[in-house]
Amino acid sequence: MAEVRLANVWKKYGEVEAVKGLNLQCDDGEFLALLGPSGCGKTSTLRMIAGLEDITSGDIFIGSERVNDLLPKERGISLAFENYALYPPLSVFENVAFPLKAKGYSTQDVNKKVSEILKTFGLWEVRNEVPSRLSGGQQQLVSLSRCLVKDVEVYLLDEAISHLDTELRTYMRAILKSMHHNMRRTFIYVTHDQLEAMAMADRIAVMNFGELQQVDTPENIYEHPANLFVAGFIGEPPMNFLKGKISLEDGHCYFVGADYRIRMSLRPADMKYFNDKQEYILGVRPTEMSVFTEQKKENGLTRARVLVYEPQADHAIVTVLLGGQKVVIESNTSTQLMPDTEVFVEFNVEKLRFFDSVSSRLVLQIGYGG
Amino acid sequence: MEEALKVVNLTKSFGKIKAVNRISFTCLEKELLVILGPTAAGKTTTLRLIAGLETPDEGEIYLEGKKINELPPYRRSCAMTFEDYALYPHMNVFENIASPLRAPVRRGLFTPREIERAVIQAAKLLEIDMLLKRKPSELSGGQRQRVALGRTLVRKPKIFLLDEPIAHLDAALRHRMRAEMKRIFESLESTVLYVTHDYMEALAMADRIIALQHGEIQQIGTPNEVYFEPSNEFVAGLLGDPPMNFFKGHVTSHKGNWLVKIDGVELSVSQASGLTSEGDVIVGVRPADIHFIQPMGTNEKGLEVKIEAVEPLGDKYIVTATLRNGEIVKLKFEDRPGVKLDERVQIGFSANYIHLFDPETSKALWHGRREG
Repeated sequence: MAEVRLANVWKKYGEVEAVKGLNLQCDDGEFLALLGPSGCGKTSTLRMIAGLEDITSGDIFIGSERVNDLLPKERGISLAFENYALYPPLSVFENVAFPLKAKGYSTQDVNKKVSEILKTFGLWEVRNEVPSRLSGGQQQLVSLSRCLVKDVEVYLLDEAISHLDTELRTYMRAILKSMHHNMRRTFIYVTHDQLEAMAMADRIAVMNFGELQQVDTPENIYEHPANLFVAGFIGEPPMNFLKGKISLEDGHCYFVGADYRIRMSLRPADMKYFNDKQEYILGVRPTEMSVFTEQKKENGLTRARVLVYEPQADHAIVTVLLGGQKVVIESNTSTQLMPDTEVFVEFNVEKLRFFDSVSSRLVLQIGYGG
Repeated sequence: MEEALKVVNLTKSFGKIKAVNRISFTCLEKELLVILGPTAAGKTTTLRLIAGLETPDEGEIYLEGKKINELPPYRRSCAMTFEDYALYPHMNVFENIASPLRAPVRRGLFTPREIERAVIQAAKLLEIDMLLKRKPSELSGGQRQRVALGRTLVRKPKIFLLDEPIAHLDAALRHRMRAEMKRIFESLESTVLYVTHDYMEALAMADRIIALQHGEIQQIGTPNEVYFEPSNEFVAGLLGDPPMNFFKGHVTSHKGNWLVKIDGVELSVSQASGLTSEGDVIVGVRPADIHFIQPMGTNEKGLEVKIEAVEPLGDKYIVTATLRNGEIVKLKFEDRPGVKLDERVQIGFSANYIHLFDPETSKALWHGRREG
């Protein structure tokens, strides 16, 4: 059993607090992604788990053992770095075989394991080359192979496929996910790329400024973001944020902003979550709106003006100016909308999420069944 | 519309490698023409040849009807941005944007007031007018990109040559800048030749797309033509994420009806005007055009696959599966598909959504779905 548990872990570099009181558990056999922008503390966290950085305060457990004072090699982990750290004079095959030979595996076992992983990662053809003869992406795959060929309880991966070109990265996401499924070992994976985290992880821990923002499954993080940071960080194109106040008029709820008034499907009972003096932020994903060229009388759509129309063959991205603000909409219509055209925007009022404009926390979310 | 740029038989080799091989195309006035291709396709070399930063081995370059092969770069009226922005680190934003107007070759052409007016106008358009006193090191990636663009705008060139201008920005910023640039070039009615490896950027921005591979043009067409009627297997695989799946298939004809067989799946292909003979073909299907066949209640025969991975990406799900021969298939769904890892299921697709390619030449023979 090798779950990894962090209890109130801090990391300070002089005055700078890189990791602030992190409490986090990765279960045995789980694939946990540490996701956040650069400088959020995710790599420092991974390096503390690996034993490459001292822990300023707090405790780290692997299985039932507190590992604060153990050397990296005593922790039962295997690491892949963003900057490959390969042995320059050794061939690809020898680089990957190195940790197995050091452990005293038989030549036959080494050959079998190394050949298998090199074939999976498309490195078989270059097995006799030295690292300097390979592209950056291939070197990174060698580093990843060397990490995964070891038989340990916990694998720690830092931006492990970030240097591959887009197509290969997409391909490797599925390969890694499937390998994890077959190995059933604990994976902790650091990345700044939300698609990578969403695609591979069982759960994602989102970090910002050294603090944990939310830990949940990819689907829950996407559908139920805990605050404005997570809401804006996950999703492409990013979520739109509209500022306004909630008001109740003739039994209907409206979201009233600078130059818009959107009828909401809130029930009068939901009003208890809101204060009519305070401003709230409505978070709307580009897929949660539709654009029409004519007003639909029955439900009063919101007027807007087209700024940019970007066709994508089977859909289009439309940027409109709505109440003085740029709003991005993913539209299924393939009718080209010229700049400056007047359009009408329909919000999917069955699915709404409101954030507190001061604390940035989620206030109320309806329509996601959770 | 008038021709702005015309390139005829342009060729450039570096040692034994033909970086650009006899390419010819025309960019119309006010057109945004995108050169799309993978790494080392010859995209940047093409731009550098047009800008005069490389000398062609063969071929002619015409700008507004005049041959410019012999002109030095600064007399070509082409403004080029570079992938790494190439800003002057010691100059502030104002000075960086003003630098082309203050270049020695233009000495005396502009008064300081004219320069100031031009810089402020460009900075306002790019929404960086509040940053004019800052140094590049004090700017974010997106702001640096805008400064680089501002420096080309002030020159009022006949054509903009943009080399991967937003490739190094993070995803959120890239989306925003893509729309911004499209708005700016539309409002200025500029002529733009735009290089990228990102097919979504190409579809979003282009009036027409040139698909380039190994220094050779594979197809020139509108975004819809290139996406829905790719000229060959390469172009078909270039646009789409995940890319199009390719299967080996066989075509037979029976009483004027064409039938495509793929490992047990039989599809009847109507109006197969591009098909002239029976034989082997490559069948291309986009991930979103494949469905799972329910085991009960249908006579549809499918391909057996094993589910290897399901990736939830928020607004879509990508499924990776393997065929019996080990080949990988990718499927794309808007909602979570009801399949489990390691499960064996049948997949199917409709003849309306497939593309057929010649296995020898890789050229397209037939497209199931026409543009639109």
